[in-house]
Amino acid sequence: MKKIDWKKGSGVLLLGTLMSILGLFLMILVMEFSNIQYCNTISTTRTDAIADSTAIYAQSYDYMYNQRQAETMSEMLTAYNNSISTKYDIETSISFPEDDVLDLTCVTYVHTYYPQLMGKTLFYIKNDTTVKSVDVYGDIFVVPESMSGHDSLTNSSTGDNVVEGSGEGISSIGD
Amino acid sequence: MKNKLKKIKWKNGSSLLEFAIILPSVCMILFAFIMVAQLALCRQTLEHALYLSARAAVVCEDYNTAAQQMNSVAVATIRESTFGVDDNGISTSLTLVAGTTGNGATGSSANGITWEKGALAECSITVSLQKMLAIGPDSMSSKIYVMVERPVPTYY
Repeated sequence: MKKIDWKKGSGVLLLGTLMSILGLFLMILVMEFSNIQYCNTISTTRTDAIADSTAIYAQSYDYMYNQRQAETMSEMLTAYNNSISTKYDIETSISFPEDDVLDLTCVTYVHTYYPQLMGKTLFYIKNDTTVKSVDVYGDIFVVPESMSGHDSLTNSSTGDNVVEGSGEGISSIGD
Repeated sequence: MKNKLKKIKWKNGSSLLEFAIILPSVCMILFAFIMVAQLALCRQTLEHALYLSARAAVVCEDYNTAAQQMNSVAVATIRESTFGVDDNGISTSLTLVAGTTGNGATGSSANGITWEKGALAECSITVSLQKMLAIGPDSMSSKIYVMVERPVPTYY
């Protein structure tokens, strides 16, 4: 068998092969990065959706939260949202620091595309949302101190006052 | 003919030949890279649009308005912020999956379930993709479950 002399030629084939392998690795990294982004989006949107629905469902007429109702709704929404896809798994926990404040923590898990390469089988994103019940029919809408720094929006047509912060921020919705 | 072939100095064209061999794989990886980026971007936009449209739908007073609102918010969000999506291939669906039935609807109903606070709605969006390569999915869809927020039933 004839021996290949690698020194001959301009090396385009070798360089091209190297570039292809490098491109492949980069593509894998981009895929995993997009997977983390996807996990983050799922976590943010589902946390906000579950927290808002739970808060509105459990809000009583004295602007407090019915804890049993809140737990029921958050469990039901978590179960329904988990049934959508096998790509991710959502776990939620709910707590009430005060009678009119609801904390929802959501942990979203997604599987890595290449566990051997990444050294782990799961990515997870943890997201906290706090919802405070507000008396929107009160004379003055006062933003609690814990919410200062967040944008305040006032819908003049409906008279609803909404202060919202997504992700790990604080959101308060008056119904 | 044989003599003519022998006269060609094949070694002079070796770089061109090597380039020709490697070009398809480099191009393939480049296109795949773009496709992966496009799919990732579409997926992000889809989830974002889904959340926005679901939120817009659940605050509506009746089912028909909610379905209409959901569709317009989803279409506007997706058209504004992503590439590679067929503009005419965006479809949305709003289905009630849990809630009270037959208690005197406060609005239109779907699946016999009354559109009112406490009902659970399944919101989904499907988009058709315009791909560069003939591999990968033709469409992409996502769902979210949210609670209907309005109107508040009288017996609540």
